[in-house]
Amino acid sequence: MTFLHSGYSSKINLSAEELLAISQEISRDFTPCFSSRISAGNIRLSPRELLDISQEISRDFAPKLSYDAPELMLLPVDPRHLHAYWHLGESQEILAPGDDSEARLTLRIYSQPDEEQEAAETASWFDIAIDNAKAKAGQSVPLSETAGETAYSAAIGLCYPDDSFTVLARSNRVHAPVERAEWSQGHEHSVTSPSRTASGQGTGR
Amino acid sequence: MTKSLLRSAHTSSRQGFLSLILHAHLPYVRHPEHDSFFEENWLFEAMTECYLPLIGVLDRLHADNVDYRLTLSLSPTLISMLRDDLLQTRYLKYLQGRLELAEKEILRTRRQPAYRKLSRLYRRFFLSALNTYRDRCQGDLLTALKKHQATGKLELITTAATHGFLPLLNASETAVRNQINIGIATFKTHLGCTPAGFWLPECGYYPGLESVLADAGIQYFFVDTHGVMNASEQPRHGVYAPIVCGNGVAAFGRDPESSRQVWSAKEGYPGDADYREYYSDIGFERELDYIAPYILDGKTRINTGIKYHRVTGGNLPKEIYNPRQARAKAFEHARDFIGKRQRQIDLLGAAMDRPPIIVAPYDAELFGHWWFEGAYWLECVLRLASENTNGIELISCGDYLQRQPSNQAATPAASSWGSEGYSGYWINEANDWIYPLLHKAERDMERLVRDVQGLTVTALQARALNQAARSILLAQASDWPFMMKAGTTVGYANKRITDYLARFNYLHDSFRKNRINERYLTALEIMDNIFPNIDFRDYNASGASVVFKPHAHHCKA
Repeated sequence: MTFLHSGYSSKINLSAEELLAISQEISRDFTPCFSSRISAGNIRLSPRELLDISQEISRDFAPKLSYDAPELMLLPVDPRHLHAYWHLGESQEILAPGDDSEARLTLRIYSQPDEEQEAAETASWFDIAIDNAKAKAGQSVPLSETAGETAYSAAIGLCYPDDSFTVLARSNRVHAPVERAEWSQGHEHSVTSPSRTASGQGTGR
Repeated sequence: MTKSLLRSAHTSSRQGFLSLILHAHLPYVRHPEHDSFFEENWLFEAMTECYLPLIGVLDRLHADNVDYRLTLSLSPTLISMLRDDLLQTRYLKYLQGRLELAEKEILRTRRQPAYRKLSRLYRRFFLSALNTYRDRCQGDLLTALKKHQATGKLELITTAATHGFLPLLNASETAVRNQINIGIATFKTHLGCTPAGFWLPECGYYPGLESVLADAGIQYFFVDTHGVMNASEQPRHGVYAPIVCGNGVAAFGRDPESSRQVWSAKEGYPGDADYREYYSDIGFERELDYIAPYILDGKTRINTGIKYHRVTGGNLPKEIYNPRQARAKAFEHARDFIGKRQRQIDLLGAAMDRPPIIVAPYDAELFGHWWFEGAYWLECVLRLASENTNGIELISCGDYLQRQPSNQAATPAASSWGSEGYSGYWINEANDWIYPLLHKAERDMERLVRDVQGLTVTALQARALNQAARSILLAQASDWPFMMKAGTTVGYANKRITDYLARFNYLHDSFRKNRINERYLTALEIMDNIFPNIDFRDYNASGASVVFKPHAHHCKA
C-alpha cells in the first residue's frame, strides 16, 4: 500500500512547487555529513577564531628578506635566459644615493663550457650593468648563444672605470637548458588552452 | 589466445602500443576558516564533471569486460582533499545546491521545450553524481579507483607533494627530495603501494633529477617531446621508445601529434562546433536575483555548470546544445584519433626494430570539465583501441618496460610542457618575486632541522617543526606562480603563498624563541591538515629517503 492510498488525509494542501521547496530545504539543511576525524587535541577553535589567528600571523610574520651575508642566486629559465636575484645586505649602503664614486653595480656572468673548470675568473664572461638595484633585486639575464652543455655562474660587484671589479657576492653554478634540435611544437598546452586545471576560472576571494 | 595473436590473424596493420595518461591535480584549496569558500568549488566542479564521470567510464568498461589500459596520476594534494571530511561534507552541499538549481531551471524553462530537455539532463547529471558519490562510493573516490587498479587495467601513479615545479626548487636538492618523497609517501598511505611511475609537475625535468627519483624507487617518468629529442644521445626512435638514464630510470616522451589533436586551440577536438560551450553558463546569463543563491556571496557571478549552448563557431550567436549530436561527434573523433594512431604506428613500425609506443598524456580535468564530452570520447577511444580490428595495443608504461626491458641509454634534456617548453612560465616578471622568499624559507627549514639533529625535542616542538614543513610544501606549489602569470585568480595565488610563508616564519620564530603557543599551532594544524604523517627530520640535506627503497612493493594487479 502506498502512502497516497493509505487513507491519510491532511488538511494542509501543498502545491507541487511547495513540495519541491520543502524537499530542497530539507536536502540543503540536513544533508548527511561524513564524520569528522580532525583531531585538534583539547583545543576547540571556531572558524572565526581560525580566521583571526590566520590574519594575525599573516600580518605579523609577512615574508620579507633578511640576510646575514650578501647573496646572489642564478636560476636556469630557458636556453636563452637565466634569472638572477641578489641581496647585498650591508653592502647595499655602498650604493646609497649621493655616492659620488664612479663604481657601477654590475652583474658579471661567467660561462663555463668545460664542466671541470672551477676557476670562474678563467672562464669567458660578460657584464650586465644594474641600473636600479634598489628598485628590484633581480632580473632576467639574456644569453647571446648557447652551444652544447654550458654551465654559468655569476658575481655581483662594483665595476670601476679602470675595469677593476670588486666582488660583493658570488652565485651558485647552473646549466642553461640545451637547445640542440630544431623544435617547433606549438606548446599550446598549459597556456593558451583553457584546459589547464579547474583553477583557470573564477574570482579570487 | 593473446590479443596480439588474434590481431596478426585478422589484420595486416602493424602492431604498436598506445599509452594514455591522465594527470589529475588541483592545488590545496581547503578553507575551514570560512563557512564556504569559492576556490573549493574548483575541487567540486572537477569531482562532478571529471572524476565521477571517469569512474563511470571505468565501471562501464569493466562491466563490459573491455581489456583497456589507462594510467592515472593523482596528485598528493588532490588525494588529500578527496579523503578530507570537511570537503566531503561540503561537496554534498554543493551537489544539493546544483540539484536545486537544475530543478529551478526545469520550472523556469517549462515553455521552452529544448531548454527544458537540457535542464532535465542536468538534473539527471547532478543526481547521478550524488548517487555515485554518496551511495556507491560513500564519499571515497580513491577506493573506487583502487578497485579498478586491482583489475590490472588502471595504473595509478603520483607526483610531487604539492606539485612543486622542481627545476626552480632545485636551488636546494633537499627541497626537491622532500617534494618527491612526501608525494610518494602520501600516495602509499592512501593507495597502499609505491607507484612505479612518477608525473613530474608540468613535466619539469632537469638532468640529475632521475637520481632523486631512483632513490625513491621510481622506475619511469614523463618528459615533453623535446626532453627526449634533445637528450644527451640522439634518440634512435624519437619519442616512440623510452630512453633510460644512467641509473636505470626510464623517461617517456610525449607524442606531439596525439597531443595536438586534443590540446590545440585551433585544430583540437574540443573546439568542434557541436560540443558544449564552456563559457556559456547560466551563472553569467540569468537575472541576478534569480541566480543569487548559487553564485559567490549572492553578488559575484560564477560558473554553475549549467550550460545550454554549443560552441557554434565564429562570432555567430550560440546555438542550443544538442547532446545526441555531440556524442555522435565524440565517437567520430575517437575513431579519428584511433585511425591516426594506427597510421602513425604503420609508418613508425616500418623503420623501427620494435613496436613503437605512442605516449599521450593529458590533464585529467580536460575530460568532462573543459571538454564536456571528453569523458565519453575517452571511453570510445579505450573501447575502439581494445577491439581486434587494429594493430593498437593499449599499455601502461610500467608494463611496457617489463615487455621491452632493453632501451637506449641517454639522459633527457631540461624541459617542461609549459609555454616555450622550459621554466619561463613559472619564473617571469609576474612571479619572480616569490623565489627569493621560497628559497630563504627552505634554507631556514634545513638549518632548523640540522640544528635539532641529535637533540630531543618535546612533542609540542615536534608538532611545530612538522607544521613548518607542511607550510613550506604548500608554499612551493607550482599553481601559485602559474596563476600569477596566467592572470587568473592572482589575488588568491598571492595570498596563498604569502600566508604559507608567514605561517612558516611564525613557526620558525616560535621555535627559535621557545615560545610555541599551542592554540595558534593547533589553528595552523586545523587549517593546513595535509600530510598528517610528515616527519620534519626527513627535511635534511643528507638525502635520506623517507620510507622507500628501490624494491618496494609497486602498484600492480
